[in-house]
Amino acid sequence: MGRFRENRAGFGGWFGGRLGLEKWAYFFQRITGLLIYLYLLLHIVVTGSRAFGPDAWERTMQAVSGPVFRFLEYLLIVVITFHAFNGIRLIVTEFFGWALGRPHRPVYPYRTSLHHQRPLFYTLMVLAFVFLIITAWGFLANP
Amino acid sequence: MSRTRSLSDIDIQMDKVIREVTFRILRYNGTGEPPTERDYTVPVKRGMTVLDGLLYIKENLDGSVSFRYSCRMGVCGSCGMIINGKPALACQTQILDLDRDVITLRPMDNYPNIKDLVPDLTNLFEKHRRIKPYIIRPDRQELDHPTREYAQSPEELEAFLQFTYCIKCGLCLSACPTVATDPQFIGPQALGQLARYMIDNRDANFDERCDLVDDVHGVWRCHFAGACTEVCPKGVDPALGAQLVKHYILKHHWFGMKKKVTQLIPETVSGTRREGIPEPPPRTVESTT
Repeated sequence: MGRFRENRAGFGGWFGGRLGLEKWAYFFQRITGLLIYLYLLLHIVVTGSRAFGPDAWERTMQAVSGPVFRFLEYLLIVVITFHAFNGIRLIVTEFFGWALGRPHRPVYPYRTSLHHQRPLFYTLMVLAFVFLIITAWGFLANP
Repeated sequence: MSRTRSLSDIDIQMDKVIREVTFRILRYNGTGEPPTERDYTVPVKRGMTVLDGLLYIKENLDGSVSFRYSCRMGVCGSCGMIINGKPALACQTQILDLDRDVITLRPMDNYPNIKDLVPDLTNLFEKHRRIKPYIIRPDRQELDHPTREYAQSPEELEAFLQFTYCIKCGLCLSACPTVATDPQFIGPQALGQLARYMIDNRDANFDERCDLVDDVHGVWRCHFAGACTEVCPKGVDPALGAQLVKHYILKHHWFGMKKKVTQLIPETVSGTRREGIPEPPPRTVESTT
């Protein structure tokens, strides 16, 4: 089957489609998940330099210090914070079935599970934001 | 002086062309060549849906435009397409509500394209079939030749009624970001229907249903993007169904959750005849039983 016959959305289907917050949360959850995984690999490579002796370790530590890496470190915290706080929402809704509302007779305009879990989503995002401000303050206080 | 509007006034207004809208349709000829966009100008009257616009094009401008439709009132679920980038039923989308001079129409994503706006929904039906969308009970004899009803309270009905409104239009699979990159994913439509049979207390197949989608392309691929619920034209909320399925599977495997299955209603007690009540008039038709 050709590409045009198959008509699959592919990665483009991950975002857009004029759809709501949850689809964007899904998109960023996947992207941040990949970034955290990439960081883990990088982390293993960097700390693995200790195996080549104290000098190699010192040299690597020297290479990954400085304001640029400090900023990247903060970006890493942003990524992990979003992934963690959004993950709490996903655990609560997917595994426990909480904050979703119950199935009910659909009457237009439909009030769906997405509407039911949105207060939880907003609360967690506000908490994540507060957490990021506190960490930013910590970063600036201890340069 | 107040002027009351007569019915004929409204009729005239209904007939008035309010604006001209360009329909930009992605035409695909079915041979594997890249699809091309074609523009058609449609005079829009009050109350015209996108489907009405398509029918206008087919009748007056270009008879070769292909699309599926049947009921024209959001019941059959045939006319799903992507209207201005959002999956929707053409018959339930008012052109004037869109408030655009150009309306782009393309076939639903994630389905093989047959021609123009006609997708091949075989995948959808195969996935639906995989979750066994029918009541399964040990008493086969009673199912095939029912003698009485199964007891079900209004509350027990409302617990799954929402999911029964699914019209199999396939918009949810078209909007789903997981289906976009994993075509084998069972999809929101089937998961919503699975929830329907897992909750329905007449169904006695809960344990097997828990294993039906408990795999890598099954329910665990769903990460609650909610796109399915957002586009569902009937308010079925497949995302809720999928989350409930996950919840039930976990409860079943970790805590041994069992479902309470309903039984037949008790046999009705036959009445006794009191004294002194007049006899009914004789039958006018022969009883067949």
